[in-house]
Amino acid sequence: MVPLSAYVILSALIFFIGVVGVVTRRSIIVILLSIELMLNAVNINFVAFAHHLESITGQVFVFFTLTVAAAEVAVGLALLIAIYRNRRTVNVEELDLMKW
Amino acid sequence: MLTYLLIPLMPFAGFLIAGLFQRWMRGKTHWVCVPLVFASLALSLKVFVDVAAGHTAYFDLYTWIPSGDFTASVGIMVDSLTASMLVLVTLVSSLVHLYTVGYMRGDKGYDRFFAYISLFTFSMLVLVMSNNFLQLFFGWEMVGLCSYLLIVHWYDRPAATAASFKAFIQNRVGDFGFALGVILIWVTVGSVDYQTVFAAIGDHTADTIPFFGTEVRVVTVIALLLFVGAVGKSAQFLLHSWLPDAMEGPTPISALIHAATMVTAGIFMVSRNHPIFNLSDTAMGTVAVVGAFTAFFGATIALTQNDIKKVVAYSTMSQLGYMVMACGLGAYVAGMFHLLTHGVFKALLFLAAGSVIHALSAEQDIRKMGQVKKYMPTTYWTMLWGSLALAGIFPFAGFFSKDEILWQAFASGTFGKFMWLIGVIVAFMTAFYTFRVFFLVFHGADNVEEEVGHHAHESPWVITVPLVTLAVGSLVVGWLGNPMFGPNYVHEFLSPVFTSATSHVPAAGHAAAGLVADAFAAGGMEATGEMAGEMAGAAEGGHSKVLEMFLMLFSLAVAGAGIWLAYQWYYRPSPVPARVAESYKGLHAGSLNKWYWDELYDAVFTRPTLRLADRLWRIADEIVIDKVLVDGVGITTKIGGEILKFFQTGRVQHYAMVMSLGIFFIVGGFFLF
Repeated sequence: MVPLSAYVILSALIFFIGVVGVVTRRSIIVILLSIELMLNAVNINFVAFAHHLESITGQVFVFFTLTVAAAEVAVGLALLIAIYRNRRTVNVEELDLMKW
Repeated sequence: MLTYLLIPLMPFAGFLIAGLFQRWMRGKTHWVCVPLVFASLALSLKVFVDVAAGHTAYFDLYTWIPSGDFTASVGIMVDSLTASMLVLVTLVSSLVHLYTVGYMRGDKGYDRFFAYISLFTFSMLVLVMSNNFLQLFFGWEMVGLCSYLLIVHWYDRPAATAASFKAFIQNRVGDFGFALGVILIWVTVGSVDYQTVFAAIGDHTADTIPFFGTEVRVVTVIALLLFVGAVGKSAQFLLHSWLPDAMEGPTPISALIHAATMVTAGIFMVSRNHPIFNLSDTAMGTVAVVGAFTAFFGATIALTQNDIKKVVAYSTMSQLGYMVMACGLGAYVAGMFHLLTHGVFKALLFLAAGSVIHALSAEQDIRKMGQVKKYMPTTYWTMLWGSLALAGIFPFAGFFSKDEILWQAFASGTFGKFMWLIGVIVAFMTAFYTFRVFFLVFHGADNVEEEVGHHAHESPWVITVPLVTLAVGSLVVGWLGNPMFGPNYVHEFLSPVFTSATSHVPAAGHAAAGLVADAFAAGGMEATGEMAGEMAGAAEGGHSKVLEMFLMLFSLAVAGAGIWLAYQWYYRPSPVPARVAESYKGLHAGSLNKWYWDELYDAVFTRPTLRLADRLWRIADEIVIDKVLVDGVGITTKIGGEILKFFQTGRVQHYAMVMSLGIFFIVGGFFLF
């Protein structure tokens, strides 16, 4: 069998790749993609534990997070379009109106 | 009982009505205040008669402060001491109330004045009728307050404001000592009620308390602390300089407060507390010395003053010194006798001076008077009688009371004889300066300004009636205490107070003689000390009526000499006084400048205090508190913000980075520890 730790490490790796993407990349679209990566990494974690603990709860929860992810993407893309229409850019480095 | 209560409450009602309804009673408040205080006088006379017949009183009205171990009540004590004071206070107050109607007419603070003098009368009456220390202290403080309020009656005059502060602050210093004394009494005896304290204090005569290393007797400390209060209230040396300045107040209050009543509260208090004082030779000695010195000190200054009221003020200081000296020598009856006669003739002198000032359009400088007799005959005669009484000329009142003090002093051993000598010298000076003023004002060169002279006229009846009444008093009251013809009523009336079971009277002449005996014993001369005691004892035994008569004639001669000298120098214009002043320029200047005592206090107390206040204001308040602490907090916050603002880059990714780092460290830390 595949040990649990493999799945957990996989999940962690994907999660941190997502974090780095969020923090580092300049394009808003890529940031949104990275956020999705993070969410999916968490989903892998839930399923792995669901299998390991032989409880269906983990998989049920995945439904919730997937739904939320979808809704969030919708909102995020809407925001992206609004930003582009106003600022003509999708480069987050140029969105610093809240700077001191 | 109602009678006792009405005596102080009627003037209090006068205060309330005049004070609260000023607006509706503009200029008419005297219709309320004057009758009320005269009614109080009538009741006081009734009480006096009752007490003479033996009906004294001592009871509590209600418990004022029930606080665990400490209880204080409001209560009344009426014995001959109280009764004498009641009559003096209400009599002088009534006459002053009447006088005020004439003197303060047209003054914009007329009604306020009446309210305050009625309040003062109430306070003084509470003081003398009280049966415990706390209530005495209440009256004590209240009269101090009224003194302040009345001195600053003409509040737009800076001199009056300054004088009122000085009076109140010096009084307060005295009050501080007094309060400490009362506290110590409570700590020692457990009560502040007179009867309880006087009965119990004898048991503590040997108790001591530690003081800077040595053990001192509690009764001495208590007596000295109480005396500090008297020093402040009765303008004795060290807390005296407020009294001449208090002349900034209108003359009626100079007569009422600073001659006959408030300033006598100190002597009254010492007399009332004689059981405590009698237990401490040290305290008695101190009291006598301070009194004698003050008598001398005040008289030396009065010699050269040119303001008529200042002369009378210093005279008061000096006479109060006599009374205090008498108390210190154990001659309480003599001291009280002089207090009563002095109250009458000194009030008269002040009121007469006021009459002159009023007639001469507020002129107070005697160098701008002269030949005033032609304008005001009644004032002339009454002031003459008052002056004769003050100088101590037979048959006027001052002769008997001052002589009684001098005789008691002489009969109190060697120490007493020294006090007697000072007293005689002061008597000479008193007669001199009193008549210096009298002759310069009413005789001498006519230096009255023309305009002033045109307006000068005798004062109205509301002023002259009190003058005449007090003048008659100056003649008559002394005879009540005369030692030669018939019974000495004063002695009979007042002695029982001072020779009761709780008076702790030392052996005849012991107090002062004891002091001398101790001094001599320390030097190994026990015999002299005992001799002093014996001599005093013999004198008290009344063997020396002849000596007494001789001394009386001697002091009469001394006073006569003073008047004679004043006559030579001032009855007619003469260059002699000016020449004498030139020859003794230093002494003359010293006397004229009150021996620079105010300058001394200014340098030692006032200016350093003002400097400290200035420092506290400019440095502690404006810089430390306002700038460093308050503004500092603001500035620190602002600078902190200006440093921290650089964290706000506006870039979401940076925020996300910080968040994730934070979470990472927290979770990591959680796992590691």
